[in-house]
Amino acid sequence: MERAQLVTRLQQILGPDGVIHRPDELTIYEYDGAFDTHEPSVVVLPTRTEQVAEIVRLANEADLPITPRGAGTGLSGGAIAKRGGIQIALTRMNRILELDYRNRRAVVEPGVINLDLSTATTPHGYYYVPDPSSQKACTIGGNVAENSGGPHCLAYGVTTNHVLALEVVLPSGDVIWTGGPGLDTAGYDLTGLIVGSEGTLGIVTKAVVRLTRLPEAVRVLLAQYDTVLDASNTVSAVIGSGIVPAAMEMMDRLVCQAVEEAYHVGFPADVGAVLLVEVDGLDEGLSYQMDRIEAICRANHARSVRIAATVEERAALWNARKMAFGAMGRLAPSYYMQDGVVPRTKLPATLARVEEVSREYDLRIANVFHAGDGNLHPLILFDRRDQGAVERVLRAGVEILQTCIDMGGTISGEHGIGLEKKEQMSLIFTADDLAAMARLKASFNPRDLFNPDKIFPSRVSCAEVREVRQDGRHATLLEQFGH
Amino acid sequence: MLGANDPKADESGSAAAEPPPGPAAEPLSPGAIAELQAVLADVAGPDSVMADERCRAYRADDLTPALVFTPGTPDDVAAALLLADGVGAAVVPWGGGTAMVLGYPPRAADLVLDLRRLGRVLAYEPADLTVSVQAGISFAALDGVLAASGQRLALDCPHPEAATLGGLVATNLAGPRRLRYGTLRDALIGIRAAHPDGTLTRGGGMVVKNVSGYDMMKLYLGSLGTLGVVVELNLKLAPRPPADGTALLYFPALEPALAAADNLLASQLLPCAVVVLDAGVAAGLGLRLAPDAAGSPSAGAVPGAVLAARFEGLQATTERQVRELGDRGRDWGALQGQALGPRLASAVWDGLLAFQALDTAPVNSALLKLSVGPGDLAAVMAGAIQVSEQVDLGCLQFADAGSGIVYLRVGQPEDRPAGVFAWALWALQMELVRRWGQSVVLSCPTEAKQNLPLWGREPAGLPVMRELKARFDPRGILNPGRFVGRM
Repeated sequence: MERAQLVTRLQQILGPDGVIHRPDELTIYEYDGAFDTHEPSVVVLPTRTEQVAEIVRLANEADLPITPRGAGTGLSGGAIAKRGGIQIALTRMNRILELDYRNRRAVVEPGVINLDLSTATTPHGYYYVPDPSSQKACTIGGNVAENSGGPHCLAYGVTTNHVLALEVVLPSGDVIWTGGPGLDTAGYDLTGLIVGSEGTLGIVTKAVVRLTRLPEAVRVLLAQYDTVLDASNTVSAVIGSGIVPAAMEMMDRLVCQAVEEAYHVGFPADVGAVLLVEVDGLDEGLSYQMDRIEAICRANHARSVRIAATVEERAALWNARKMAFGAMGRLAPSYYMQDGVVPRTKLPATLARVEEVSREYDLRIANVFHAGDGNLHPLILFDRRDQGAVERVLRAGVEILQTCIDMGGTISGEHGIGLEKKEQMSLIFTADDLAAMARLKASFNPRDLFNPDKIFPSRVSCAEVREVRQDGRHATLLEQFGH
Repeated sequence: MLGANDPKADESGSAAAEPPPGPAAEPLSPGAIAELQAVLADVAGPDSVMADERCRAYRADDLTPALVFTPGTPDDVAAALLLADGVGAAVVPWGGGTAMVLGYPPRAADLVLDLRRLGRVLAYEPADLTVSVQAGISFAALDGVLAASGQRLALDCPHPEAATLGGLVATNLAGPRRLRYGTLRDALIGIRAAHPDGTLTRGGGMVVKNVSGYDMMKLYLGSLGTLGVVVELNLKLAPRPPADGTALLYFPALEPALAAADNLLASQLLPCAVVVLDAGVAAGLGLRLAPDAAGSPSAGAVPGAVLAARFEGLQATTERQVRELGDRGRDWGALQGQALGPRLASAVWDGLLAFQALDTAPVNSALLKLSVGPGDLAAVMAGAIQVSEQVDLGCLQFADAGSGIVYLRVGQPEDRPAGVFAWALWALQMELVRRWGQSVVLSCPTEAKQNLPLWGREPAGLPVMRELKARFDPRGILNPGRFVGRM
């Protein structure tokens, strides 16, 4: 199909203001929050499910790839139209359709901004738990695609634990609902498969998500340490003591310095690490928990422990954490944020190795992360103007991922694989593992129409590997036993 | 709803379009069975294969397998699947055998894989709150290991000594405490499965947050062993709470009890389970109205409905919540409240777990589950009573109000002809499916299953589900026909 004809057909579906095709306007859709860039041939802005389905049917006819996009805040290149084609930006489908407090659920369109949902429900005593750091900008649809996390996932789980049902446009153009009115539905768990599938299995056009009652009470504690090691030992000790806080976040020396310079929150210049712990629930329980956590902090050599006495103080302590990324500009013109996960007890050893990587590659690395989950976010600081900086940064990033794998962890906790980490998938999964994932993908997306070139490593074609492997094994075993 | 493939499955490129070559209704020939037996004995030793009368212990839905294989390693499982796939033998994975009644009778059952020799804990680091186990470990064995470190897998399991973790993954059944702790869906962080092509594959990992690749755990969870055989799994754990308290509120009828449950759930109290029992279930648990100071004539009578709430946590929070529920109960129209001591409390919760447990060999009785959402519970329970009466079925029910689920037991005297019961159950289920869609018959006699839409309304995603089945089990050897859409 000629491009002009494609644009005309899309305009018939969406109206003239729903199609972006002028080169200067397309440029802003060539990147997201990660490194890779690629321009789509055309961007469409549907407002209704039926339009999405029509676009998908047209893409089938024209044999063009489709890349869905939310707010473009993703950090793994998931929203990049790597093979061009049609980009479906879902930002105009941004209505909260239903707030059903009795059944503790909300029905939203994918373009609803994460924080807007909690803002709408908080006055009624409810909130939507998953709270990625980008929650002021990122969309629920994007969260579903990436299975996003956030600080409060420690006690409450990540996006997949809060999605009950989805309306999905499949690569065939068919529209289905996964899940049902209740929590359990018969059949395979299509909802659970689609959450975190990075837009490769279907395009979510409506999501039914869980609303959670606001807790009666919340307490926040901030402990300062001389070393990251003491702070990470505290994390393991708290979890090991039988307390699972609502959130447990850590910032290292570099981050504290930047935050202090930018916002003057009162961190001493020589602080080595800061640990922020939040507990919530019933009032009586919290004092007891806070006492025990404070004792554990002190036993692990915290040099000071502060418990927020008021709502304002609590907000101030959290602000220091939430503004950490914004403060990084004080340290370097650019940073590359990695996203690795390790078992919690491996945090101290992993952080020690990150420090070594920093020395080996001569790059400053700042750490601000979800310590309670073992989810690291090393920020590798650099200046693009330095010769070979980007390449060195990427190599250091891979080295850190390899460390996470060596520690029994994995290469992404909440940002996704996308383009960024697809080659590293073969570091944690065998060809057979990837073949099983490829079978899953083919069940939904046999023509590789949705978000191609993502998640799977490019060096090997999974289908080929599988056939070779399968034939080999079949032949050996069956021949051996005379079949 | 049965049989017909989706028309779109005929398009080119669709794996589901190929004719299902799977196991025939005819059992395997004695020659093929003997051959399979010999090869399996070669794989894992002669003691690992049974072909004699001992196979009768693995009878389910009137089918006795020709062979029972007890693999000792994940590789044995993979080899068995590859061999079975080669000869088209129907494979029935078997854990504790406590839920074999679930689903349609398989089209055939040539080879049972008894996974209980795969019963080891592979890795357990208490400070990480994670554990890795083989699929054949029983819930009780795992619980014993975790208890020593003050931890647990927070899941209600009716037959802990028998039920295996692999079986729990395959069925994804859970009890009332899912309100606070979720189900196995929320605890499963890693998985390893064997496939009919002889491969063993992993998904997820040993960390509590993981978006590396597809969420393969969701593929096998609740799939009743129709896509692969789970051999290992990794779980997120929880600390064992120091205190556990239960309070009851007695009501004259179901409606005010369900309304009270709504109020409790809208409060900031943190119950781990909230259930509402009808009069029959309450009577079965021995719950009676106590004599009160006013000398009420109803003393000793069975209440019309009972709300039971369970609170786990610290002593102080548990005591406060039990007390507060009693206070609030008066405003919510409760006739009486009762705080239960530990012995009575476990009698109530164990009794409810037994109520929602699948029967192994039901006669003229069935257990149904309707997952509808909290807002529809009153209508569902009233409707269930009405329809059961119309078709002459006795009915007992309780609502897992916290999770919006009704468990319904229906039955007729055992001396009634089985065909009469089968018809009544069919009529009931048809009506429940018409009204609510989500009605699943968890257990009923085999002969009642034939024309019964026991999985409820056909899901909208069935064509995709058929594609998954066709790609993960192309010859259809895994539990053929048992699952949704007779997959």
